[in-house]
Amino acid sequence: MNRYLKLVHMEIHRFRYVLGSLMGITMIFQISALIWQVNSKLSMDRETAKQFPESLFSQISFHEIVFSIQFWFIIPILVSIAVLSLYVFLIWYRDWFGRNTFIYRLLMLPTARRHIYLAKLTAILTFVFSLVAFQLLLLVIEKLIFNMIVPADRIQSSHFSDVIAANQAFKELIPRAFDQFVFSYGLGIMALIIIFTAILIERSYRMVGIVYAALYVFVCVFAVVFPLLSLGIDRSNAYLYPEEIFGIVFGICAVLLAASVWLGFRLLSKKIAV
Amino acid sequence: MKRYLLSVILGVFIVVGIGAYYVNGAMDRLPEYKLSTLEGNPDEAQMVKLSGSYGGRMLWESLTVDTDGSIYRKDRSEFAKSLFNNQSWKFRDSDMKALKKEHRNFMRGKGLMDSFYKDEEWLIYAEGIVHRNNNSMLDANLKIDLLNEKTGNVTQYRVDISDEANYSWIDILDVQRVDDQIHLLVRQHVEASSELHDYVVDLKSGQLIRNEMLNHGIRSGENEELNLFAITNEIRSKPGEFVVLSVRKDRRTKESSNSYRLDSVSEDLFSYSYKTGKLNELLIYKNKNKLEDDSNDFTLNGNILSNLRNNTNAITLSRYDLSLDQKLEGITSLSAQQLGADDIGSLRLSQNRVYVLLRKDSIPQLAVLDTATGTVLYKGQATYEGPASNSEEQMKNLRLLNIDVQS
Repeated sequence: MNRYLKLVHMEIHRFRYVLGSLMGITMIFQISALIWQVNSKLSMDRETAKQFPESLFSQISFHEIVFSIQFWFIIPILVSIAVLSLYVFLIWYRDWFGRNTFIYRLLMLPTARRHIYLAKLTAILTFVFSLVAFQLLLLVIEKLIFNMIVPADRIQSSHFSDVIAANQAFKELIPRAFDQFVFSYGLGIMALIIIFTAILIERSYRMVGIVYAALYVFVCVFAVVFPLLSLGIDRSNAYLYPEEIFGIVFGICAVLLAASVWLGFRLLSKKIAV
Repeated sequence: MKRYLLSVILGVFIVVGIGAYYVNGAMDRLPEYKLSTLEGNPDEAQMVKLSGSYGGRMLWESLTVDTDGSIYRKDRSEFAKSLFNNQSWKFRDSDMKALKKEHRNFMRGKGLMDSFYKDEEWLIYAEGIVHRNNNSMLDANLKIDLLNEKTGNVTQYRVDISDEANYSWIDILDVQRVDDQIHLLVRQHVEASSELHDYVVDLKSGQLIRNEMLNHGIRSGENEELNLFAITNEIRSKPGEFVVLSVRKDRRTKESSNSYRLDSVSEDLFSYSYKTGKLNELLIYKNKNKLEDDSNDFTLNGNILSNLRNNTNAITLSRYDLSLDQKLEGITSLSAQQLGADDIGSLRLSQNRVYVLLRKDSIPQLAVLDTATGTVLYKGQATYEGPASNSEEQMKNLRLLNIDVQS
């Protein structure tokens, strides 16, 4: 356990600058967009007030501002998703193709090799969830900034759930219902484990391994999607009821998850040689 | 420990950040509403759900309000919605829900709601199947599944109804049992026209006893087409001696090279008795010119055909006994003001009750009326379940538009 935690820390430590940069980019983009949008709205109102001194201005709410600058909020989120997606592969391949072929040292550590696999998996999940948590914290900070730059008499209060609903990306990445969060990220974790296993298949069998890995990913996707399409979940005359079809799909996901983890462990301990 | 500070901080940050978000989300409750009794018997409103939306947030939130309280759609995740809402149009119907609960296995793969019949002895399901045979002709078959409720035995019959007419498709509109005969009301499409047939099948042998074409005697002229519909029992699987047939004549007007506009010319209603085989035109509704008026609504409940309409803010309910062939007492022009409200939102007829969604000073109210006399059996209104100081503001944010009755 101790060795596993040390490996996790090592993986986090190796990515710390990239993670920090992603957080920084997100913060700069979102806060700049917020300040720019609020200032342009206020200056537009001031111009109108000069021309029409009798004008009454509507109140400004934080969620409306977030809604109006969705694009600038989504850009850094997409960048973070792209970087993390790429790092899912790099977290393994950098150990082989990096300057010091670090994988040899890792594989020779006096600990079970499955710890390497689990540490890399934990590290990726830590990066994902820390970016999610950072986004939540950032929204709180952004709201404070909003409250500071908008005159108090013009502020209309916003509920946090309205702020989340104001951005399409937030709705997907930070769903309001917790079971939706578990379901979405559960699917993501399963996809991550399947990709990890595919990478290890490729590393074990090299050139022909690419074919095996692609085949493995295809079989996994097919196994999940096929029952949903073929059993007619939205067809009124389907033989199985929707809850039964979902049950089958969950069962298949559980089997795929267990099989992928087992295969990954096995390839790492038996097939990959130093 | 200091060495691992970054990992520890990230771990704590994740747990606290995401945890706080969901705890805050769980505590962020939208206002609770309830249907509270103003007068009458609260049991009359037990099966009613009023649906609409709450507008006090950035997005309108869908909700339902009943005598127990309110439920917001947002409180169910997209995942739960996709899990439970699949085929929801089928299983939302309380009749289908009950059949699924009682006969889970028999109900598998059976999706046509008009194709069920249920009494104390039998549960019957029928389906029309058309397929092309080796001679490039279309074969039409009726597939009938019977469940004996006492023994639990399931029997299947397949009845060939192919004849010289080349049916392009067939629909089952109603299934009934009269003693040992199964009656299947079928709409058959032959080229551009459609016909209604009553196929009578022997319950014990599955043999076709007779095929009655229901001749309504209405002919379509040039550039006209006839559309046939059936008004079946409100509870679809319930036994009933009668079905009401609607024959609508539409005029076709060419709008462009490949599009047509259909304008209704007339609509006539006929009652058909499965027991006697008699087709009787309902002259009371002849050329009733109802087609442009969406608020019209015919409901068949046993032998009683009811027509409910909201005419310039007043309810009119006419009732007709098909077995006695006579008009019954109903409701004549009962206005919103007579019900103590400003206007009528929507109406719903279910069993022997009329459910009326009213608005009084913009506050939604529900009235339940007896169909025969129009007597108010229940009256209630939506109330805010929170501090009285917020009540006025929160009631302004509530819009209730529809009535759902779980019979």
